Amino acid sequence: ENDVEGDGVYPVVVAPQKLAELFNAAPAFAMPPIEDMFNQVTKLFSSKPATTITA
Amino acid sequence: KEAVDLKAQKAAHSKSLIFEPRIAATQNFQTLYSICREGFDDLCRLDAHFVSFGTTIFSEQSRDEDRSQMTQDENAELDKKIESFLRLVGSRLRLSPAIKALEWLIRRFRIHQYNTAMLIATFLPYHSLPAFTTLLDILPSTLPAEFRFLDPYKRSLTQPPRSVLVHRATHHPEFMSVISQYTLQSCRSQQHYPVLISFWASIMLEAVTGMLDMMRSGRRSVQKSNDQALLHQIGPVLSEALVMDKVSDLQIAAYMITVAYVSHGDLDDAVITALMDQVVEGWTPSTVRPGLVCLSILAHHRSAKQTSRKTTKALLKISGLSDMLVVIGKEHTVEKLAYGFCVALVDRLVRKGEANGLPIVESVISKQILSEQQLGFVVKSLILAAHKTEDDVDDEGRARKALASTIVRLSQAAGDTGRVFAKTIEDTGFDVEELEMKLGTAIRPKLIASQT
Repeated sequence: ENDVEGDGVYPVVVAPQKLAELFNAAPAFAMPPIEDMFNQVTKLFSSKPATTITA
Repeated sequence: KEAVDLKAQKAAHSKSLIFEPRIAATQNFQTLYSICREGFDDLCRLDAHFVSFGTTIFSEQSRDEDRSQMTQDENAELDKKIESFLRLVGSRLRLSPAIKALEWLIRRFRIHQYNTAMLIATFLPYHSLPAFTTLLDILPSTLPAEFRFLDPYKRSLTQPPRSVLVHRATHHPEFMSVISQYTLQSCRSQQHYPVLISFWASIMLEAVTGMLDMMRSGRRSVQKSNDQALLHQIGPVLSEALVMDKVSDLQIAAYMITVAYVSHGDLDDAVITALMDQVVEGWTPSTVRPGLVCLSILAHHRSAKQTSRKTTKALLKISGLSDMLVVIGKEHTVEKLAYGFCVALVDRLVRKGEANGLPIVESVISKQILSEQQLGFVVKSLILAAHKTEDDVDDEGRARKALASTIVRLSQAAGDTGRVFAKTIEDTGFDVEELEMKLGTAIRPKLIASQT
């Protein structure tokens, strides 16, 4: 199996207040459609890191 | 004693979502029914799913039904109807017809006493509205154990802030379990609605990351056992939600939570692989895009290895996959998923002689989705495949022919691809002559051409 070397992936730490801000913006009954929430959340967790070492 | 009973009865009868206790106490069921039935009829006009309740808990006959006179079985049957109605009416709680209809169930069937937990769970997504405090006000003084943390809000008649619910879910697994089970059950019975799913997902997501943060502060060995405990707790919920293909919103919500869980945590590859398999098992045309985003992020947090058989098969079925990956790649890291998929496709060719993945490998390469190092590995695996693929899996040589044309095209490719291809051959010291014999085609002149 060809494992790519130098595979430095670390857990992404998202400050709790960032998530809270996202969800506190509106009560559940006024939240945007779930796919919009999904896009916002995934952006927080996976915004392309500037220093990816994943080869 | 009779006087005391009568007083208690009167007090019980005065619990209302709409009327002042003083007025409620004087109302008879005849009057109440006509008011509440109006609300119910309005609901039926909004949504025909309500209609069937018109012959049971909202029937004329219901005016004379008294729970205390019913048998245990009759009560259980009634509870089922009530629960089903509550799940359905959950989406309408901000409308006055819904409150009027609920008023009937409270006044006639005392659901605030008999179905307390279910009623609270139904109202919970609306915890920030005054209706929630009105509900708290009429609930029995002792709340069900899982909701006892709401006591201070019941006493002070204030609305619990969202942070309190998140905190509760983070520190008390049973509360998270209650809202998860309520949500899942509503989805199973197709009585879900967007507000419920958003509410559940947002609380769950913050609670999961909160739990991970707490765990990170412990010793490594403690962390590992905590990880297991958390997986045990949320794994089954996520698993079910990920594959619930009739409820797209729930699947997308589960992708979101899974992304947070895997990105924020430090999970073993096996767990991530299992989650990836569940994502592809459940996705449908309406969830495949967010599903792919989720899969890309999950793959990013796994060591760089080939995708599992199940994930590979599912990815093969997506038309225009490489284009989708290019689009997703603008915001997310897709390289590792693409790499793992290409390696798996080449492996499939070697093991089974199946060459239908080659066009995808070629397209991933030509769209420059891979990093240079990954590209080198994929090229190497293609050349190795040419050496390894034998008659036993490819007796007519079709796979090798397809492989040969892929390799020839790649070696001719302009730019990075051709360069990396030539360099890989050079670095690995492959015998080009032997390779050409094996594939029955000429690579060398083209190789040299691509180097110049």
